[in-house]
Amino acid sequence: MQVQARPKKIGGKKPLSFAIIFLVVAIVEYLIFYEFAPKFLVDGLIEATAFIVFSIVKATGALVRLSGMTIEFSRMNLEIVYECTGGFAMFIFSACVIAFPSSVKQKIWGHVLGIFGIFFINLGRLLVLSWSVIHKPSAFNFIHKYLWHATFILLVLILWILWVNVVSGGKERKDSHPEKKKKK
Amino acid sequence: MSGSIKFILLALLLAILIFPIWHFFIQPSYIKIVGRAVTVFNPLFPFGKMELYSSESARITYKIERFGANEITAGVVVDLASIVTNIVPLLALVFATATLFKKRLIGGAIGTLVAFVSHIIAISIILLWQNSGNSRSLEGLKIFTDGIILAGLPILYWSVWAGFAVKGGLNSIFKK
Repeated sequence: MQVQARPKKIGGKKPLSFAIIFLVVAIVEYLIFYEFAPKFLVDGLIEATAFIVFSIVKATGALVRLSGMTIEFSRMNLEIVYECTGGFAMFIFSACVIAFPSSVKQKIWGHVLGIFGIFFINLGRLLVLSWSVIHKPSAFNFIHKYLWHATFILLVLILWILWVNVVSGGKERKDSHPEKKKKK
Repeated sequence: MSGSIKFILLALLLAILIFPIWHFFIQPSYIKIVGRAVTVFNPLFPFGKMELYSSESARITYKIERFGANEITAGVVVDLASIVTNIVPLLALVFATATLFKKRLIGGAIGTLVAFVSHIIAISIILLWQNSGNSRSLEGLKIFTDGIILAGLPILYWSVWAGFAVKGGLNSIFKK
């Protein structure tokens, strides 16, 4: 009976090693993808985010204009900055994935999930903020400063748990039943 | 319903419940306490003489007098709204974790203390940056603190705490 070797798990198996790996990854990614990243890449990401939000809001029939990184509504303007792109949330998610004990392949899939997941979560956040600008400007500050800060990171956690269960956990459940493999 | 789904739903529910309690009843007093605590650590930072001028809503105003410069930077305002809110998801995660209630209480208390220290550091960095004439390196440190440390603290603290407080650590929470 042939038993497939389990892929090697890399990550912080103890809580403190998890924390150290998390912090190191977060710092390195912050430096590479933001602090020392080429300006055209950073600006490109911000402009792309602004364009996507503008396109969706405009498609709903709202009176809106795009001026570089600023979405101009009738009552106020929304300036999109790097924090609005979900970039920092991706660094946090990436740090969680890399720090959690799992194989390299599972970590790569985690990042694929994270890029799409955080993109859509962040897009939802920006569309809710745009909606508040159009229909309830008085609620904008509350939603922007409080509500999203309180819940956004929980949504990132949901993605992380989803990855652990679907990608990381699913493979383990397959590997834990070697007797079901074909006998050669 | 799997354990991890229950955990997520409970954490979201707790965040929604804790938020109004925090925002309307606890935050105003907390901001005064953390604002005053920053002045206690003033000697560690090259501000000069600093005093808490006022605290209104979520904003704190500091009066800073630079050492030997006879220069008073009046009314350095720090908006704490988004800085202190990370306590809400942190407590939600801790209290949603399936472990002894006593462990959750201790975890919540330690987590609040950790968050408190992080808020003092974040405010001090903001003041340092504003007092430096918007130094580029301090601005980078400020953005890193706001965007990564404060935002990621709930997940980071909870992951470490759960690793100690829950039998089997994170694996047992995620894979139930």
